[in-house]
Order: sequence, then structure tokens, then C-alpha cells
Amino acid sequence: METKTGAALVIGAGISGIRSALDLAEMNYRVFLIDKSPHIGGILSQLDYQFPTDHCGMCKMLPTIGRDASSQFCLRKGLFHENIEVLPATEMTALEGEPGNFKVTLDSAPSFIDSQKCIGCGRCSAVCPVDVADGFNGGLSKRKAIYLPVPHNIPNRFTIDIAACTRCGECEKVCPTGAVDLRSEARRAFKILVVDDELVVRDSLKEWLLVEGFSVDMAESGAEAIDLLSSNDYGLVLLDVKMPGMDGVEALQIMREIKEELPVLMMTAYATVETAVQAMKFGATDYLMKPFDIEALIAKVVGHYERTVTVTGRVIEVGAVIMAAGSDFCDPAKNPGAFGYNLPNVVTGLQFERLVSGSGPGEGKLIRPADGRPARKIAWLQCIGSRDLQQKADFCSSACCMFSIKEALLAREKSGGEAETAIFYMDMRTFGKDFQRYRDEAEKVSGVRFIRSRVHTIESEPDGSLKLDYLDEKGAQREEVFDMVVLATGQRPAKGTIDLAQSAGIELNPAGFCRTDELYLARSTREGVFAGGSFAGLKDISESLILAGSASLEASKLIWSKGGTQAASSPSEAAFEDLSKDSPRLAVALCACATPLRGGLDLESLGAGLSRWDPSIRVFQVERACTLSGRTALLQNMKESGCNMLSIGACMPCLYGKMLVNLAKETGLSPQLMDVVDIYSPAYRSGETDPLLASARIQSAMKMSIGRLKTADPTPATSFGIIRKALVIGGGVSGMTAALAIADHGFKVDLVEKEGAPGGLARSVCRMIDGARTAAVIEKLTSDVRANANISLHTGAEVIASKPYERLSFLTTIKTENGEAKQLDHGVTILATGGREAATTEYGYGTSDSILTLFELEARLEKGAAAADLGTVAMIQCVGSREPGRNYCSRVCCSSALKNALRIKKENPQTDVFIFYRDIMAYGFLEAYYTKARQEGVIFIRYSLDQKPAVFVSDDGKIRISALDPILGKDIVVEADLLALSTGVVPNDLSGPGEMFGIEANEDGFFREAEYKWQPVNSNKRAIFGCGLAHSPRSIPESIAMAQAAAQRALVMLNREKVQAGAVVARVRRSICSLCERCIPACPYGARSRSEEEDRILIDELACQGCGSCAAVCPNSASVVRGYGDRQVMAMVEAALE
Amino acid sequence: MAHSQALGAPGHSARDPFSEISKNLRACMQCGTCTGSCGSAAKMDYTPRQVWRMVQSGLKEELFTSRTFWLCSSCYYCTLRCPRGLPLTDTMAALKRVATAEKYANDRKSPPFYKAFLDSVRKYGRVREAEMMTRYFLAVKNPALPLSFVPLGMKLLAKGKMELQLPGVSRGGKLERLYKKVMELEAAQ
Amino acid sequence: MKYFYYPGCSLEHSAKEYDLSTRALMRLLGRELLEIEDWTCCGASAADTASRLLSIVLPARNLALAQKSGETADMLVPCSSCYLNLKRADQLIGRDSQTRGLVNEALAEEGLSYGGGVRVRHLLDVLANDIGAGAIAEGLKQSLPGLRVAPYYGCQALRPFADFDDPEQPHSMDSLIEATGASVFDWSMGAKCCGAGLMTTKKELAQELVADLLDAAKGADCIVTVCPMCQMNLEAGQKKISRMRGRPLEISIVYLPQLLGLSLAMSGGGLRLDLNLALTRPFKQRLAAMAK
Repeated sequence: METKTGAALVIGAGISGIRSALDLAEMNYRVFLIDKSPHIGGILSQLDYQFPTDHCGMCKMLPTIGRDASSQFCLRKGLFHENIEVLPATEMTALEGEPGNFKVTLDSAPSFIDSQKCIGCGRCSAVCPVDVADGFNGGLSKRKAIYLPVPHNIPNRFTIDIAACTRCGECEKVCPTGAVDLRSEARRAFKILVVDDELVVRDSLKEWLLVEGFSVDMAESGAEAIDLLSSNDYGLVLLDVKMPGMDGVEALQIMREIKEELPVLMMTAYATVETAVQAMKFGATDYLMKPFDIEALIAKVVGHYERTVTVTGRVIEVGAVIMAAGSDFCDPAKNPGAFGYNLPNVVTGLQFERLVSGSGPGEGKLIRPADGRPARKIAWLQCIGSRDLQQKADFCSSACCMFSIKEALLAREKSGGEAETAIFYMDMRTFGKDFQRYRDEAEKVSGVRFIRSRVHTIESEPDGSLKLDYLDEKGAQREEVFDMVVLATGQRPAKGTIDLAQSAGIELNPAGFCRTDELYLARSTREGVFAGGSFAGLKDISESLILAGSASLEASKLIWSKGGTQAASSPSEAAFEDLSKDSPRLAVALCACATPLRGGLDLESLGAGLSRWDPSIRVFQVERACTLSGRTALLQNMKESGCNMLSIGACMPCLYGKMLVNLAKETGLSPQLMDVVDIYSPAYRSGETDPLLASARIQSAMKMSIGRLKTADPTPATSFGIIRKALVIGGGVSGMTAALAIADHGFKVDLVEKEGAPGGLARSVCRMIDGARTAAVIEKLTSDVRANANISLHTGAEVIASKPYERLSFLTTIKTENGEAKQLDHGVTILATGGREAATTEYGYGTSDSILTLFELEARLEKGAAAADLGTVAMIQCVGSREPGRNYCSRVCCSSALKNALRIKKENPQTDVFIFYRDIMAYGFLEAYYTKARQEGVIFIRYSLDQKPAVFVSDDGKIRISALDPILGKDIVVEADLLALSTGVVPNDLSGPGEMFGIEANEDGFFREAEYKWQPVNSNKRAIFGCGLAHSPRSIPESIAMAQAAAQRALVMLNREKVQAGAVVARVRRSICSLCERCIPACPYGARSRSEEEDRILIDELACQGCGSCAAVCPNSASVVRGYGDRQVMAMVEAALE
Repeated sequence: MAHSQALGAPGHSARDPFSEISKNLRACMQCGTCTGSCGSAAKMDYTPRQVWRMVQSGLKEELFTSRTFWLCSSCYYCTLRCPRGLPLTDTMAALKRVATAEKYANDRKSPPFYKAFLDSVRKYGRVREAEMMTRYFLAVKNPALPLSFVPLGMKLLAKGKMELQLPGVSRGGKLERLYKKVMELEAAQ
Repeated sequence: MKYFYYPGCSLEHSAKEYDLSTRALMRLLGRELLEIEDWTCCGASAADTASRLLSIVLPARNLALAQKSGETADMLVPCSSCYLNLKRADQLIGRDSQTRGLVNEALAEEGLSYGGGVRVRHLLDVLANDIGAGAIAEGLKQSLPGLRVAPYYGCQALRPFADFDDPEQPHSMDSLIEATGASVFDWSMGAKCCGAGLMTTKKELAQELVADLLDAAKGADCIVTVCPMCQMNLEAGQKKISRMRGRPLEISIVYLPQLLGLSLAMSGGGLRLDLNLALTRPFKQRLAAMAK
């Protein structure tokens, strides 16, 4: 495992970091997953409900292949994977070396709580006297200085907010296990020198710093300070700028000569700020403004102190780095008056999510935060801090429109349909797959009001309600009172991004997010450093995960190309002895280490009790089971006892995952036949004072474990080898990208393209939005594909049949260019069948040479027809789109229209350009192009579905477009020389491959993914993936990212000699199966089928995820799930009831 | 169709002050925050949002026959709140400037008032309120107008906060040279 | 501590009491005011209707005079309109070299030049931030308990330069008022517009705006202002506006330095309350009672 190049670092343990880490771990690389916060999950740990299901689905990210390598529980609680080392409260401070061979320095913040000892009992929190705003609940509630960062985490360790902690020591006193150590001694040892000529200043500073537990010396002049400095060891100096005699700057220069590294904070009044700033050039660390804001001052001092005690310098070696450090929300408190954010009952979107969360301050009830009264009329305001040049946010945050609709629907649900909801917006950006339908349903079925308006004034009413003033679409002033207002705050770069970028040596874009390649969105400006998720800017969950997949693919490719193959074979794939014929011989190991957790537990009597209960078991004690010496002792004892099952009584079972895997490797015993039981903390957690009752409880837990193991099915999990070759259908940008990604990992790929040349729809696109030639992209991809020995490109070929083949693989027949049939065997399939520009007969298309489709306009512009002879160009957006019949947004038309308009304006500013639109879908950084187009003088005229523009062709060949201008409230006419219709994108016919591979298309004919957000490139079938336009309309760079993500998922399967099914999978007891087939549709993973030849139900064990749906529907218990058999569960119940 | 408004070119000439104004407003996306925030909007014949649209679309004649921009009180709410950061209050002033320069007679009171004010400044360096108001009344030539200001004038006189002074007839003045230079410089622009 | 002092035209005549009370208060608080010699009009909102360049040159002339004096100080401006014009000129000149060139070509006629750098401060900013409520409370001689004071900021002290307060929901006057022992009347109109110059040219509209303000101040004992234009619009024509709305809307209007001065036991005479146009009888009686 420790191969130098077989490792990667993932920065940020939010969903995209987790996605990338899992991807790479599944590829058998070793992954370090760090996060600066004390927990994983990022922003998602705060969100309970997500579009489109309005539930959480994070667990769907967990590995489905080789899934026993990872924990199989809620990802919002924790992540355990044998190849991933999670390092919370850790930051990267330096990144050196070359791509494929980086040296990374990691700094971990001091924790003050020993995670090995904390049992999460909460007694510390109960005695903590400090109340601060709870960031987890968006500040809506209070928490203590010692607290649980996330209420539902596992293991649930407390953490200390050291900035808020007063070091009163109460928590130290009550901790039953001695886990808290505030290191007050260390603070006392940290000496601070205060230099100021004014006694008042010195005295008050000394007082404040002493309260914080530091030691303080004072000096009243520069000279005195220097004297003290030469004979004392100070950690920090606070130095006044303006002093009689030697001033602060002079003193600083001398201090620098004596102690070069000593941090010095300058203290300055307003008048001498510039001097203080100047002083920083002479090596001052920072400056403080007088009069002092005590909190800010203390925070700065503590910050410097922390830096000196941070555990620094762990250096790891990795081949690639993925930056997934996420993003923050715009903070309306910085501009409170503007959005009424300082008024009661005005909350941010995140605060609303916390309000309706079961673990939030309202315990899931829809109430107003200020007075707890039910909120029955709620308004959402869009674009708070987005699309706002005043706030330097010339971008759209991409996710807010959809999360606001979701929140409005949640409000309806939580209020039993009572709450009235209204969303105030400028453009409703429903640009993603199925977004438009979701919006339409919210409006038509659930009665969410959509009001196109930017609210300009919010005022508080005496009863705490909020009066909103706004201008309606017709321009009339309206006034409406709401119970609560939710601000859809936009995204901002995460705090600390600038420092992080500096440490990583990458550049940021003008908005402060990671600057990425125009074409390969996961590539940062430094080779070998990749970006995933919203760190690269403005993404929803689905897009974050796609980019995370793209980043892990790039990282994997790099590590691979530098010679780092996967490790020999994963331990969990080791073949274990088949013990099904053996009788159970169970050993119980009790950990006898001297942990304070042990309390008064008497291991002797516990062991004796168990032996009495079941004389067949062997009980022994080991010292410190979790250490290497403990493991050696365990091994020794197991060998002596000749056991074939093991139950360990110790602390913190969740820490034992990796050790059990190692034990399994050494003993040949499947980890499924080993178990770890927490025998220490239950006594504390339940607050049990009666030692007898506590030990009875522990004994009962041990007995359940023994019962479970003795009735376990000892048959080892099945392994399968698939054919390690891929088939990619569709030779467009997506297909070629996916094929290259797989081939670059050394696997054979057949790439089938129905046209005579690869390139797909991109061949009809002349330019990218940044002006680059699309043809260059296609040429490069094509030559790479042709040059790659692992890729067989079949142009002019068509897939005509496919059937299941040996080793859970496929045998597919294609018809080649010459009309010959050719058979291809492959283990995985990627559908990249693409799409095309939709046809239309609307708006007089076909009646004039001057009425074109968007692509036709582009072709004409490319030929140079553009500017010179064009007086006026008009464009109509959403032709045939976002209306019944084709009710989705094609996503690329708005940006293409902006691209073409800007090109026309650039080539001839005299040309007038009019764009008729419904909502401009300039999501993310595309917004800047929208702003630019307006600045260049392009005129945008909005129309609605019930009043579409009318087009007439005059005798002189001019196109007359008449429409209502909703701003002027007048009918207007535009006479254009050219009219371009944005007709949108439709998918190529998926029904052929769909039928052959057993996958479905959605109602618009696009690839139906397993789960929109969490498994965007998977189908419902195990080895079939989809990407590109076949999946949904998207730009070329977005298609590339998605193709890489799809290839990454496919590689996880190809990468292994043997793919192991999970230990928990379903079986059918053939003797009692009545072949009623109810289980087949019940299986959400399509793992079941009926074999006509053998006349029985077949299970694809790789596809089966052990969910138990089949067992639930089976009328006569013929379907069972291993590990959850009746006998086993009953044995545990019995043991528990003893 | 008879009532429809043909949208033309917003004006491309850089020298045309109207197209200068239009350049400043191009980034407007018609969100209406300005109109909503405007204390005078209810009395305007076109709302601020419509004014920007008219500037963008080159509807100059319609705009200058309206009196919308003369109703701007320079409260700067629209400028403060505009998500595009456009200089909207300044644009209202610019429209007043163009209307004055091109002698659009869409408001009888405002241009004479501002002129009277600036004349007073040119002459004395500082505004002499009584003198300035007299100039204004003379220019507007509305016999009823001065009457509405009599009660206030009397109060101020009584408190010694206003000094009666008739407009002087002499040419020249304290800031005459400065004014002249500014006009020269601006004309050369 | 010294400040350049730019009173502006109104403070010479119709807002004399604002000028006098400001000078008196600053003297009491130990601040020296250096009135700019030979200052001229800032151009108000009129200059911009005639010439954009003039609207920058007029205030720039005063900034140049201040700089020429050789002193270094912030420029204290009690009139919001002057404050805005001076600040805007300073920023434009500092930021845009083309404007700077033109302005200086014009200023050369007066033998002056300006390259930016004088910090323009509104009187309210100085009172709230340099002097602070603490100093008022410390010097408190005559507490004003029970007096309900509606703080009125108007527009141009807050917008477009949101330098020292929230331009939508300002609060900088709150602590100053509280320091006098009076209470802050809770209303949401503090940053709304009084109609400003429209009182001359669009009287009907401006009176509607003022009427809304007076209506909302019902329940307060007085409104405090920090701008001569606001003061004038609010105090003149209260009778007519009451008739217009069909209800009595008379209320006392005083300048902030007058209110602060009262609490520091400066005599009403020194504060020139005799010059205010709208002081209700109950208000005067209360002042008289407190003086005893």
C-alpha cells in the first residue's frame, strides 16, 4: 500500500472531496483526506433535504463494487474506508516536488480533546459557562465553547472552540475519562511583551491577556523593551507605533536584529495607520487599531499563539493533489441594511434549512426564529450577493434557484400544505436536467408563486412580520406582508482560499475561485493539482460530483502515468477459507488496557460470566488490542485456541475496521466472522452509576455479538473477474474523452462511431465561448484516439446486438463500415451517443434564407459573413423548448447566443443585436458574458410563453419581429437582416442501445441516471454508464468532465483482477421459491432476473447491494439476506433478552 | 401594429451626449430595483426603469417630452441598490443636462431655477438665496409662483436669515473666469 | 484636534443656527475649526445640470484652498449636499487622471491645483466617531429624559458614499441621542428623502414626501436633522402640510448639534434655538422646565 506514487491527497472532505477520495480509494490508491474543520461532510452535513427527491441521498456515493472496503452507513455520520486516512482539523501548508511525486506538509490544529478518550458523554458541555452562536445552525441557536461540531457524527467527539473558550477548566474537571486537556500550562508558558508609553493601554492589555491565561511583561519605551527582549523568551510582542524617544518602527528594526522570527503586532491609532502598514515591510506581523476591539485583539493574539503550538510538519508523499475545499455563502450581515438581514425573521437559505431540520433549532417545525410563531407566509429572495456588480459578484451562484424552489416545497410539506410561498427572482435558472419540470410542478401543483421582481425594500412590522415593497412585472408598485423572508445567498470562495492557493501554488480567477483550464475543468494552473466541486466555482451537488469524478480521473491518470500502479491486491479481496463445513469455534478477546475509559469494569468477572453462559467459547485478555503489540497478542491467542470466529471487547469499534482487515489477512479468517464490541463507554454514556447494572449491560452486548457470530453464514463473499475491456458507444467529444481516459490506464477500448468521422455534434459548433476554435479540440482528441494503441476506433459502425457474456460481461455485435458483423467482448459499457440540434418550423423557419438556426448562424459568422453587411441581427431563444412537448432547458443556447452576439459586436459594433428571451440561463461564470453582452449594447427583450414574438418576412427580404416589450409596456417591432432561432438540443435515439443493454431513457429521450445528484453517470445497471449529450444538454468542457467521471466509474471495475461482491448480499432458497417473481421489480439495482433455462431466480451478486427489498416482498421467505437471516437475528434478540 | 414602436439603433455616435448616457446604462438588466426604490416614481410619467430602457432603445424624443428626470431628488437610493452598480442618479442629472442644453421645453420651472442658482454662484461665489429666488421668479414669468414662497420668505426675513437683494445687472463676477474656462474645456472635449 | 471647516452657502443665511450651534459645540468639545478662507459654493445639485466638469471644479476649488493653507486636517462639512459634492470631487480627481487634468486646467485660472487627499467628513461622522457618545455622556450637564427624538439622516450624508453608517438603516445618531438622556424614537424613515431641491421646482411632490415623514414622526417630541436642506423642508410649511393631510402634523425640528448642546448645558441662546422655524409650544415649555 505504501508505494510512493500510489497515493493522493484530497483537500476538503465535503461531498466532492469524499467523491474524489472514494474514487481513488476504489482504484486502490492510498488517499489522505484532510479538512480544516473538525468533521467531514462540509456544507452537506447541515442540509437534510436535496432536490429532486427532497431527501438526502449521500449514502449513494458509497462504493457499490467492493463495498466491504468501506463503512456502509450514513455518510453524513462518518466515512471509513480501508484505503482512506481521514485527517480532520488539518491543513496543507506546503506543496513541493513534481507531478507524480509531491511532498506535502500538513498541519493539524491542536485539539485539546484526546479523541481516543472522549466518549461523547457530554458532561463537559453541560458545565461550560460560555454561550456562542452555533455555526452549525447558521447562528440561530447557541452552543457551548466545548461542543459537538455535528450532532450526528460517528464517532461523536467533542471539540473546543478555543477562540470562545475562557479556560475556566470546568470541563477538565468533569470529564470522566480525562480526555480534556486545555493546556493552560502551555498558555502560561507563552509570554507576551506589551510595549506602550501610555500606562492605561499597558494595564488594560495586560488585564485582558491575563484573563486569557497568557503571561505578560510590560515595557514603557522601546529601549526598555529591547532590554527585556535580550534576556527573556517571548512568544509575541505588542508594540505601539507612536512613542516618545525610540518610536515603534525603530524598536521593531532592532528587535528584528535580535530575534528574527519573533512575531510583532504593531498598535496604532487611525492617524498612524500608514506608518503601521509601513512597519509590515520591516517585518511586523500585523497591526491592531486603537481603540481596540477586545474580541478582535484577543482573536489575533490567540491566532498567533495557536500557530506556535500547531502540530506542524507531517510530511506525506503523494502523486497528485485534489483541491475540493468547497465554497462559502455570501454573508448578508456584511451589508445588513440592504436586504433587511438585521431584521427579525429574515434568514438565509442555510438558516432556513437548519430551521426545518429535525436536528435544528426548530426541531423540524416551520417556525419563525424570532418569536417561535408558525411561519405561514414565506418569501424567498433570489440573487442575494450574486449577479451583483456592486458586490463584485459578476456571476450566478447556479444553485440558488433550485434550492429555493426546494425550500418552498419543503415549507409546503412541513406546514401540511398550509404555508403560502413566493419566490422573487430575476431569471429563474432552471438550466439543469429536469429542473424545468420541477419548477413547473412547484408552480402548478404545489402553488408556489414565482414573482419576477427584485425586492427593493424590506421593513419590519410591529408583530415581527415583514413588509416587502416590489415592482411587479407591469411596473406597478406592490406591497405584501410575509411572516418570514429567506435570502438565497450566493456562493463565495471559502475562507482561507487565498492562503490555500498560495500553499498549493495555484492561481485563482477574478472571482476568487480556483482558476481552471477552459477545456479541462478539473485542471488547475499547476500540473498535478486538480480541482473538484465548488472550489472551482459555483456548482450544485450533481455538478460538484461530476467535477470531483473528473478530478479523480485526472489524478489517477497522472499517478498511473508516473508508474504508480495499483497496490498488489487489496486485502479485502484476499481469498478466505470456506468454513461452511466447520463448526463454529468462537474466541472472545477482552482488551485490558489501562484506558481511563475502563472505569470500574471487572474484566475477570465479565469473562467468567460469558464462559458460564456459553461454555464452548474461549475467553482471553489482551493488552491494548488496538496497537501492533495487541494485534500480535491477539494472533497468538487465536492460533492457540484454534478459533474460527472472534469477538473483541474493546473501546471505539469504529476504529477497528482497518485492523480487522489486517487480522483477516494474517489469519485467513473473513472479517465478517470477526466483531468488535464497545465494552467501555456504554457505562459512561448511559450515566450508569450502579456498577452491577453497567456490567450487565456490557455482558448483554457481548452476548449479542457471540450470538450473531455463531449463527453467521461462514461462506466467503464471492469474487468475479470481468473482461477487462470497455466499449464506448459514440465517438463525439464525450466518447473520445471517455475512451482515452480508460485507454490511458492500460485497458483496451472499442470506440464505435456511426458517422464516418469522429467529433459528433461539436463539429457543428464553430467556437467555444472564449472564442477558441472547436475544430482544434476535435482534431486533438481524434489524433490522440488514433494514436492510442489501446483504442480500436470503428467509424461508420453501428451496434446491432449485445448479450450477457461470461464473467458477468458482455458480447456485443457491431456492423462495421463494410457491412460486416464484428463481435466485441467487454466488461463495461459507456453510452456517449450524443445529441443534435432540434428541428423547427416555428417563427417562419424555412420561409426565408435569412431565418436560421443557431448553428446555421454560427456557420455563417465563421465564414465571415458576420459584421460587414449586417445592420441588425435578432435571435429568439427557447424555440420549442421549456414548453409542453419538450419541457426542458437546453442549457447551451443562451451562452451560444451571447457568444454569437459578442462576436457580432466585436466584428462590427455598428450592428444592432436583439435577443428575445424568457430567462437568460447564464449560470456560473457565464453571467460575465451576459453582463458583457449588455455592456456592448446588445438589447434583450423578454417574452412569455403566452405572448411569443411574431415573425413576418417583408417583400424586401427584411425580417420583422414584433413583440411586447414588458418594460415599456408597448408593442415593439425589430427589423432584422438575420434571425437566428435557438432551437435547443435533442438526444440521439437511445432506444437501440437501451434495449440491448437494458437501460432506460427518460421522458425526453435522455439517458436515465441511477440518481440525479449522487450517481449522475451510473445507470441502473452495474456496468453501464452514460455521459455527454446522451445524458443531458451541456457544453463541451462540461461534457468532457462528465465523460471523465463516467470513465472513472468504469475504471473502478476494470482495475481489478477480481471484483468482490459484498458480504451482505441476497440469496434465494431455491427449494421454497415459488417463482412468483415479485422480487424482480422490487430490486432497485436490477440485480435479479429469471433464468428460463434453469427455471430459477438469478442474482447478480455484484449488483446486489444487500438492501433487503427482495426479502421484504418475498411471500415465503425464500429470499434472504446474508448476515440478516432469521436465525441470526433471533439469536441476537435472545442474547439481548437474557 | 399601428401602435407599435419601432426599435431603432441606440445611437452609435460617440460625440452624441445621448449615446454617451446610453453607454453608461447598457449593463442594466431591467430588474426594476431603481423604480421600486424611487420616492418620486409614483409621480413620474415614465418610471426610472422605463427611462433606462428608452435610453437603451434610442427613444430620445419620447423621453425628452416627458418630465420624469426633473422629478429626481438625488436621494441616491437607486444608485445604492442597483445590482449592476450603474450611476443612475448621475444619469438623471445627465438627462437634465442634455434637456437643458438641447432646450427641450419639457419642464418650465427646473431649468430656470438651476440657471438662477448657478448665475448667483458665478456672480458672488456663494448663493445668495433671496437674489437667486428673485432671478428664478423673473425667469419663470409666472406671477402666481412667488406668492407660494411668500410665507417662508417672510419668516426667514423676520429671523434675519435672509437678506433682500435684487439681482445685480453688472457683467462679470467672482467665478466668471472659472466658469468660462470650464465651458471652454468642456466644449473641447 | 483640528478640522478644516466648510460651512456652505445655506449656513450663511437660512441655516445660520446650524452654523452657529456647530461652531459652539465644537469649541466646547475642544475641537478647532479652520474655516476655509474664501470658500465658494459647491455647486449643489444645480451645477451638474449645466456642466459635469463644473460640478467637479466648484467643490475642487474649496479642496484646493484647504490644501493650500498648509495645514493637515480632515474637512468637516455640516451640509449633506456639500459633503457629497466635495467627497465626490475628491474621489473622481484621485481616481481618474483625465478628470484630474481637466479640473486642474480650470483651477489654474484661480491659481490653484488639487490632486486629491483631503479627507471629507460629515459633521455626523465626526460627532459619532471622532467625538463619540462617550464624550457627550461624560460632559452631560443637563440630561433630557423622556424626550423622544426621531433621528433623521436624509439622503446625501448616507448615499452614495456609505462611509460611516448603514445607508439603508442608519444608526450612528442613536448612541449620541441616548447619551443626552433622551430616547430614540423608533421609526423607519430616518434615511428616506425629504424632496430636497424639489421643494422649489416640484413643490407638490416634495410636500408629499415631507408629509409622509411628519406623519411617521407622530409620537416623537422632535426630529433631529443633520442637513440644512432637510431642516428647511421639514420645518417650513408644516401648517400647509397639516391642512393638506387634514390632521395636525406640527413637530419641533432641531439640528443635532443643538440637541447635543442642550444636554451639555449650553444656553439655548448660544445654540440659537430662537432661529428655528418649527419649535412647538410643548417643546419650548419642556426646555424651559429643564433649564430650571
